[in-house]
Amino acid sequence: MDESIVQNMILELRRGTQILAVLSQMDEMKYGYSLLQDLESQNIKIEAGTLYPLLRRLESQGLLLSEWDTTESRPRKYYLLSDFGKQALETLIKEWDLIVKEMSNIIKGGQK
Amino acid sequence: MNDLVARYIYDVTRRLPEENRAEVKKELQANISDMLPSNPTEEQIKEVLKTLGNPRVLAHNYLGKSKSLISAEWMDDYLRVLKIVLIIFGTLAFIFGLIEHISHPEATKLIGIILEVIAKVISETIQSLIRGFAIVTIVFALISRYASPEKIKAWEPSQLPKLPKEQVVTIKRTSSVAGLIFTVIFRVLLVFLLINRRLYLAWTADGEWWVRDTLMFNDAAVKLFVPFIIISIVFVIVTYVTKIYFGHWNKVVAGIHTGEQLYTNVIALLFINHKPLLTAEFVKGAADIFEVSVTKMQEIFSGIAIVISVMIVLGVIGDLVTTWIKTLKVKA
Repeated sequence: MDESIVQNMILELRRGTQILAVLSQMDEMKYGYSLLQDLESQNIKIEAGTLYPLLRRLESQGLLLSEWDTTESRPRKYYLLSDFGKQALETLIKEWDLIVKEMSNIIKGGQK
Repeated sequence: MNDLVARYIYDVTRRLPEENRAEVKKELQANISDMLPSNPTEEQIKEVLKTLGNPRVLAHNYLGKSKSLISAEWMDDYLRVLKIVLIIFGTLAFIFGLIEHISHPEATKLIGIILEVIAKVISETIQSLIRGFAIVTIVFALISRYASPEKIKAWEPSQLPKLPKEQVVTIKRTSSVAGLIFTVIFRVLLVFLLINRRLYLAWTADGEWWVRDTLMFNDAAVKLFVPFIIISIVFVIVTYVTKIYFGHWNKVVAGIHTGEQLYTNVIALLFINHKPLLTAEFVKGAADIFEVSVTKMQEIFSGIAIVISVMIVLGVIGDLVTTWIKTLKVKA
């Protein structure tokens, strides 16, 4: 068995879940690196080089709001879910539950 | 700010649209300094930059959608057309370069001429390939940029291509390319011969060499036929291009092939049976050599013309019958 092929499949499978993982953590203000650490502490692996551009994209799509905090010595860009983001998150969670149900059904069916 | 970090950020942002650069730069600075301890060592900086990955990839992630010149949905058409255009451009540049430089060499010594021809033909062929590549790439870049996304979305099942027939008779690309090269070389040489019309005849008679500098073809005949032969060169190129494009026999290929065969061979028949084709001077010269009368010599030439004509007609009939059997067998 070719390990790299399977590794790629796992990456592909997880890639689709990244947005849901990120949005689920954004109900309070976070900056890029703090979010990365939050995700890591919960065993959700996402690369920094993927996460930062993703935050920017979600902001431009109106799912996240952002604000620069310049009061401290290090300026930081904080993100927070917008109203649209909250709705999107709800819809995505429903869809996720459905996927889990359908997938476990079909996988169990296949193992009969 | 550390030099490495600044260089990294520059390498990312220079790949982004002007209007996003300042903001992304600020974000990256903030993110990188968050990831670094205070007073980081060079090693720690390198470690963080490695975590962020190749600037090219990071920039691509910031860009989001693919900004490639040829978008994925046009890629296979692009590659297919590119292959054909490069084959045609390369072949034609090679043939015409060869003929052009062999017939008008600048060098005087044989070895010089050989080197000159090789060098010039190679460089011209490469130039022609680059030109072909540029043209196809520009055309497809424009198509993938301006082809309306609505049109691609508003796709109908009726646009689906037909399934290739199972018993399809393939036409090998290599044999098409070889055919193209030899046919075009032969016909171009024929045009050269007709235009220059000087035939150097070398005969051995009684152990001696006779070299004659005789005009073989009549002026009027040449003027009449050369344009038709040039059209046949264009026609045969079109025929081989279709053969290379489809790669198997179908009605389109067979139709064009039939048209080309009929046209070319009708011209050939008219040409060899054209009575004032050969100059009187040439016929007389030949008659002298074979020690027969001029009238007898003319009869011999007419006889040769008839034999060749019969061979041509039989050849064409045979070719067209096998072509259409190959093409229509597919349906059965």
